[in-house]
Amino acid sequence: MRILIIEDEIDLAKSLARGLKDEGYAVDTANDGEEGLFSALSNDYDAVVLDIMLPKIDGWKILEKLRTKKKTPVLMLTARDQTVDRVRGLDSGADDYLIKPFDLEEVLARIRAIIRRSANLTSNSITVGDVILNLASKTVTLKNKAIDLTAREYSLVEFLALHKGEVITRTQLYEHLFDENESSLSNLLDVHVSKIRKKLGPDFVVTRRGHGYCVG
Amino acid sequence: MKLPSSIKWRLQLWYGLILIFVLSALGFAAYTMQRTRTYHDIDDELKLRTNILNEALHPVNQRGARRPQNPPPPRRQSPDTEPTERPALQSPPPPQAAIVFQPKSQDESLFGSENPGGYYFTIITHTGVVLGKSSNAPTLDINQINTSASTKGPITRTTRNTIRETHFVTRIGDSIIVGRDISNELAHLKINALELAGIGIIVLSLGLMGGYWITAQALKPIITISQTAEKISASDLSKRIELSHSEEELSALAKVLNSTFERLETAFNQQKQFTYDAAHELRTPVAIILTQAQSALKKERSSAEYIETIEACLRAAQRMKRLIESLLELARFDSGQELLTKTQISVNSLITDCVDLVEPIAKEKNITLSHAPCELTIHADYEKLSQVLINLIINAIQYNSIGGSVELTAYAKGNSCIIDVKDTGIGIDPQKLQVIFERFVRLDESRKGSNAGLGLSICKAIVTAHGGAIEALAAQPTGCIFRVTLPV
Repeated sequence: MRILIIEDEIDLAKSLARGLKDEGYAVDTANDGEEGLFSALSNDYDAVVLDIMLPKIDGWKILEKLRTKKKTPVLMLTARDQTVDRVRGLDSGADDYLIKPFDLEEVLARIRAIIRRSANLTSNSITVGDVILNLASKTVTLKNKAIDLTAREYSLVEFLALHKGEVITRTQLYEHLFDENESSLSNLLDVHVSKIRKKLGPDFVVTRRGHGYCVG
Repeated sequence: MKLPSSIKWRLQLWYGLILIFVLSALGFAAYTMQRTRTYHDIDDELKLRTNILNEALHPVNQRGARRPQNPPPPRRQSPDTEPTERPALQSPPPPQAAIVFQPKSQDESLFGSENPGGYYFTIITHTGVVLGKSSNAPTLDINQINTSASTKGPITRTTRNTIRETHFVTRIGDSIIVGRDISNELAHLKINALELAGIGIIVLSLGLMGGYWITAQALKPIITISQTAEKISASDLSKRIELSHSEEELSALAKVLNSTFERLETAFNQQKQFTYDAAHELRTPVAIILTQAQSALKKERSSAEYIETIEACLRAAQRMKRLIESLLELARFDSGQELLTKTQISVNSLITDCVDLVEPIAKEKNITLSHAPCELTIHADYEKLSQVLINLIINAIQYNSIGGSVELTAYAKGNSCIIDVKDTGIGIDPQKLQVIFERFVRLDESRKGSNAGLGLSICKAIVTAHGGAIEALAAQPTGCIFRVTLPV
């Protein structure tokens, strides 16, 4: 899962990024509207955290422009707490709305929720054969036995499970699992996949030669 | 007893009391007049009869002669002479001897039980002998009559409640008592009094009803005003009192109230906006501290990460501290608690000191800072005015274009000293020039600076406290001028 944070308060952006990275998300940050809009349009993010008051281009405009091109779920952050602002935010195409100050846990929960909704899921668990993923606790069980996965491994399993039945290309996986600052070696993905197969069974992830990977 | 506090009831009470007083006075006067007239009529009749009897007893042609020497009157039954009569009177007189006088036949109808008025008479000589009486005359206490008849002339009085009597003492000392039962007249008077009281009560209740209606009508607009005022104070300050133009005094009151509500609403909205803005400004630093601390505590971190977190929290806390300081400073100016330490200061040294302080910032941004010498001195608080000028100069530097300049000029105009801070930046939106000194208004909405849009508000508060004025003007060809006008 790759998330973009557009927030001009550097300290706030940093703490959000750290909190999200700890959850296994790949995180990019943009500190002004222009940079944020460019990043949001040029990458396929799984979610965008967008502040409203931004230098250069404000949050409303970014949302407007983003919606003409992409369906990326957007969580808006703002210091305005009046109903008109909330209504405006949601009407402009924001998927959720969070008022400052907020708890980190709430941001994380709302990001999980908008990602889940964008994958058309109604509950927090995904079942793939004998494997059950819990999106809220980020845990995986195989035949009711808890399996210990690293954050990156979990992200990979989660991304594939959210796109159950679809073939996901290596490029897509790179884009969604690694942020722009990570110098990812091309075989890093194969290492993760082989580890997942060891833990969840050799048939859990199917390799489609020349196309990519698929689960379910 | 506690008086009712409502104007309506108090008016009603006073009105009622006055009405009762006036009606009682009128009723009493009417009754007294009626009573006097009744008695007067009765007394006239009694006097008339007394005179008739007197005439009969002492015919006018014999006036001056003593009765004992007179030939006995024709109707005197006793032919005895005076000397023989006297001794007879000294002994208890025989009952028939008492009836010694009969009125003339034409006068007889004036007395007796058949007489419609029920008049009676008794004639008693000065020696106490009953000379004559009508058939319906009551038995009298002779002694009492004699003592009371010490004065000559008629005495009229009411005895035994319903008897009106005239006691006339003739020139020789005989008593003629004419009386009648006046219970009929008294009953009439009583009925009259009751009628008057009844009329009084009807008039009073009509009056009270009328008074109630008039009071209610007169107070109706006041009630409307108070109801509206209540509604306004309870919920919605935007409501206003509507009144017809006819009630001049009340519409004036309504106007006063409306303008008060107007000012209240403005002040209230400003206060609301101020509180909202202040809370708004605190949201971001609080969000920083919360998320920084929460993400740092999620798992074990390196000491570099901890330092970074603590520094971020510190920055947020300092930002809040500055905001709180600014708010408190404004609050002190608002409540008039901020005291100015005024001294005679030279405008030139004030400007030079400020420019020297800000010079490094200007150099950093490649801005030329210049000022013209000025000979003026003003009576002002040096510290506070430095704060104003530094704030204005820093703003002028921050919003300037690269390689621009900031120019300070001071000059006298009338009784004022004017200090202009002119920059060559992009200038300010003409719409914003009006509101730039209002709290939490920023030149650039997204600029989350250190003073949260309170810097210029504080400048304004300081200048206003000095009795001066501050304004923002558009400069030619570009930029803007912040003009501080101070009294010399």
